[in-house]
Amino acid sequence: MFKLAARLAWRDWRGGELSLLFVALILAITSVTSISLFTHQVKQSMVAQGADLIAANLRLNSSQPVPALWAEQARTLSLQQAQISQFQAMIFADQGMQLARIKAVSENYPLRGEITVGQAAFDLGTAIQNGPKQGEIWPDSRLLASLNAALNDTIDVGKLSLKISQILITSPDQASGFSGFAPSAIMHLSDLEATQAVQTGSRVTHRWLLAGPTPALVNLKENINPLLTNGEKWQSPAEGNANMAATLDKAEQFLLLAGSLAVVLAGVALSLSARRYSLRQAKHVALLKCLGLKPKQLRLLYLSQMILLALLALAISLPLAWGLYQGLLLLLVDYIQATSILPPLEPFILGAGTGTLCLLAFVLPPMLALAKVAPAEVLRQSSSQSKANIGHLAIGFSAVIALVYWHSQSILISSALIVGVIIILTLLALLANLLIKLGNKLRPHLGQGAKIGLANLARRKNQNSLQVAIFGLALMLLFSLISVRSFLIDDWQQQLKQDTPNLFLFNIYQQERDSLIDSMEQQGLATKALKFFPIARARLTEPKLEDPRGDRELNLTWSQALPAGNSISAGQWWDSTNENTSASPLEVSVELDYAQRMGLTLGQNLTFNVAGIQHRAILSNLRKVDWSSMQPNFFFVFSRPLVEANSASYMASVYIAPQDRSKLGPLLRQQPTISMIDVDDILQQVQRIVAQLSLAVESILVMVLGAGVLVLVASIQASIDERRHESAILRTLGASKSLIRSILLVEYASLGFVAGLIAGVSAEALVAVLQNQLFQMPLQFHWPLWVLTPFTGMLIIGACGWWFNRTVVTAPPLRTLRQA
Amino acid sequence: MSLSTPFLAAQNVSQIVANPQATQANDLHILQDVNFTIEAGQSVAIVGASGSGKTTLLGMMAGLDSPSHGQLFLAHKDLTQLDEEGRAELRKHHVSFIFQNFQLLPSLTALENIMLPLEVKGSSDATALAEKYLDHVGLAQRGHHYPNQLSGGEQQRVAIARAFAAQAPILFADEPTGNLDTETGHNIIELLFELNQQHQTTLVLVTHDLQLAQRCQRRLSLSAGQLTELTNV
Repeated sequence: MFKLAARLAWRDWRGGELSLLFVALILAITSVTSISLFTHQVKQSMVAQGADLIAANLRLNSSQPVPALWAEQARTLSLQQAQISQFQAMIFADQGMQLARIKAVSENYPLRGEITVGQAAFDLGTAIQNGPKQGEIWPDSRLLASLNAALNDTIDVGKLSLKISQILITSPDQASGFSGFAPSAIMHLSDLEATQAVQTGSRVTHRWLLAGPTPALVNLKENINPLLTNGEKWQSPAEGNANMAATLDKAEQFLLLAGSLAVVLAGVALSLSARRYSLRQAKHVALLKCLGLKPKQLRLLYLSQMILLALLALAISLPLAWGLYQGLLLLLVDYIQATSILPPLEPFILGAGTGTLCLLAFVLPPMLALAKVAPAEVLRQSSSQSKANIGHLAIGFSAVIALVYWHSQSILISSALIVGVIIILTLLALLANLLIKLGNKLRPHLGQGAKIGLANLARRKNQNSLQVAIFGLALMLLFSLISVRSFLIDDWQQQLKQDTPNLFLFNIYQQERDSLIDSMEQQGLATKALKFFPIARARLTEPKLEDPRGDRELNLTWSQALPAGNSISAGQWWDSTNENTSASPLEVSVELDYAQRMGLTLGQNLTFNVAGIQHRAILSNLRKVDWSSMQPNFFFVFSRPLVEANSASYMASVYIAPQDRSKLGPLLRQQPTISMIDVDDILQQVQRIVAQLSLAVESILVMVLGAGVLVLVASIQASIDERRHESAILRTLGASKSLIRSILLVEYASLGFVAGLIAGVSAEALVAVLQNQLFQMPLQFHWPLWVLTPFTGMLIIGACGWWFNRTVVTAPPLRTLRQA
Repeated sequence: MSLSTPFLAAQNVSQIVANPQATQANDLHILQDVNFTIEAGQSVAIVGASGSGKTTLLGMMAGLDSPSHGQLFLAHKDLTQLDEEGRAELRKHHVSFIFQNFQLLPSLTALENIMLPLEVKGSSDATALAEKYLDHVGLAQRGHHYPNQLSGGEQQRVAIARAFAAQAPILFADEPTGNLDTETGHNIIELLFELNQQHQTTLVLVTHDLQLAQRCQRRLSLSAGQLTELTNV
């Protein structure tokens, strides 16, 4: 039976009967596998980048050096180890002294990531794998400038003199918080004792870095966890750079969404082609029954055919997906870190599982139902058109839900898609009726082609509703994806702006503002984009917060205008036209997530301690803040100054072009009291990732578009036999080819217009849900979608219909009628 | 079932189609108490006007359809006692068909269409046998052509080759010339009877052409659901 199935399948394939089914299956498996491989790689890359940010796969922060027993346990588990002791000390040079943050590192540091060093301050730097040797120190540019020192000079840390052998540009685990503002240096751990800078009672942070296989790390962590004291805390790569994580997270969500859409579209295409295939097979089955094949044998025959088809599709799709994925990686080689040479197994299992489930749910039910075809069917002149089977539809729909959930692992994505599909199908059913009524009214006023075309639409009411639904569904999914891609890339492009600040300056007092601008102008640095933000350190004293994080001292600011990139989510921003005097009540705006975490509510009175003075303010609004914007952002913004103008401290952000970076050293020497944090490296990293993700998203979109086109083709093919027959009859009745062409064009263009209109409306709703719930972005109204989609639908479906039906017009009518 | 049961027969066979919009009294009686017996090796024509139920009767005789009442015998087996699987098994070994609209699979070449019943039977020399029968029907050079590349007459020749290649003892032919012009139809009938004689097949031929029916040993006429045997004129 398997042999016969193979022979028949081969003959059907050769005759083109199976090609659409096969292409749809290959597309389903290939798109799911390659997207999943890519998503897996993005995740791995994200973890690897997170590891770079902590210089290890796992880190233990402690106030005590790591106990020897723990280190021994790590050695037993074959884990790599390194240690860091971090402290503050005064550094002395011939021409100056400066309080600096010193990192004393052991031999293996860093376990992950690279250190970049240069030969001069603010150099671009070259990457190296290990830290300084004994007797050496690597100060950063800021420290070097403060000490007025140079490469190969000797500087003193406590009682030990160390030689500057490199200038530290970046280290993988450089602090990104406020502690990172201080000038810093790294030295060898074995020199620490000789400096005598760390005495009993000194404030030292010890970091134990670990790297190795995850199971060994988990094992060690579990063994040590019960022994940890209050001050000891593990840090994992996931707690890496928040900006990058947010961007990657959105990209991953998009890829999952795109993958799910590809699955839905491929499923629809498969379902349509399977239905057409089964309809065309009905006569074959009747004949095979006449020749003595039993229903059981027929079921076995089609099952064997489907197994063969699946095996062949898998044999082609899985390597194809691997190739596509490699191509995508090749495109993104500079951006995505390859974490392993061996491909992960899960995406292949997911792809193969998707293919199998698609076959089982969409193709197998109509195939197995073929065994029920009456053998007497062979004696009838025309085949009885089987109606869509509700059971088969239910199986297919359940499979779509299962596949989307399996692929996205997100209830939100799955439900948004399913609800979208239900909405569009309901709308389509209603509008199909409306179209028929409208068409009937228009018919007397139209030309012959349009008249017959619209009459055809009305006559095949149910069939056309289904076709409009399928077109509409495909278009809705495509429009949604294009919109999501556009707003995501737009969002990311915000971070790619040329003038995004890459340098933050702190500790600027009122009187230093002008002199800073003068110094910058003297150095030839642009000051136009220089923005100053007043800062005060404060602690929230009332109400008492349960969350211990609420007890920390925070930086806050005050402003008349809503800061750029912020939006009000509750309450109202204070009137910036009114002068806020001390007579008016003090108002405060709180960042939304922080307020929710701390349980702060609108209208609540908050008391802050600012330099020993209590300030009482009303919480008048909650703000959404775009933390990935690389702009200075604050949890608390007040309606008026909290400190006297003369004693206010400011922070400033500015963009420094690469060619101007060498001017920063002299600038700092002119402004020795100003602290500085250089985020150029982080910014460049984000920009690289944004560029890479945009490219990845576009590549995936092409694949999903392929699936969409396949659905359109499958849907058109599904009705092509009937149209060919009708066209033959019309031609025998004297209709010209051009009349038939115009009938087809009117029919498909009308279907496309209605499908496009509904798809536009539904896509807007779907995008709104995704934008708001999945990507946590502000809602946007895409008016072009409403105008463009009906015409785009008309154009695409009109053109596809005309192209794939061209043989309907050219086929000799007699042959068509004889074959019917 | 023993050989004492008839080779091919109908006993009080009726076929009733329920009228969904009317009472039982208005049900459509396509066949009413049809009785006949056909011996092995006979050629029998069933004649009657269009819509008289000829094709329905043929379908039942071949086990493609089941009667509402009565018994049908095929190759000494009571069809009404067999399930669909049993009837299919019977067809595989005992029955061949020729259809008015040829029923060639469009995705298969002429040769492959002839090979099909042999492959279903699991024959090891399907290709050689199919080539032999293709040659018999004068289409040796057209074996690799698809049905849509053949004329109506050629398609029916392929269908005849397929029917005889199966080497079944009973051949059912449903209006074999119905879709052909007179001359082609004549040639096809010549070929059909020639091969039938060679293979000593039992032939049941459904036709409305009385001239064609005359070539058979027996003629049964179907009218208003009743079957009567016509005597030689």
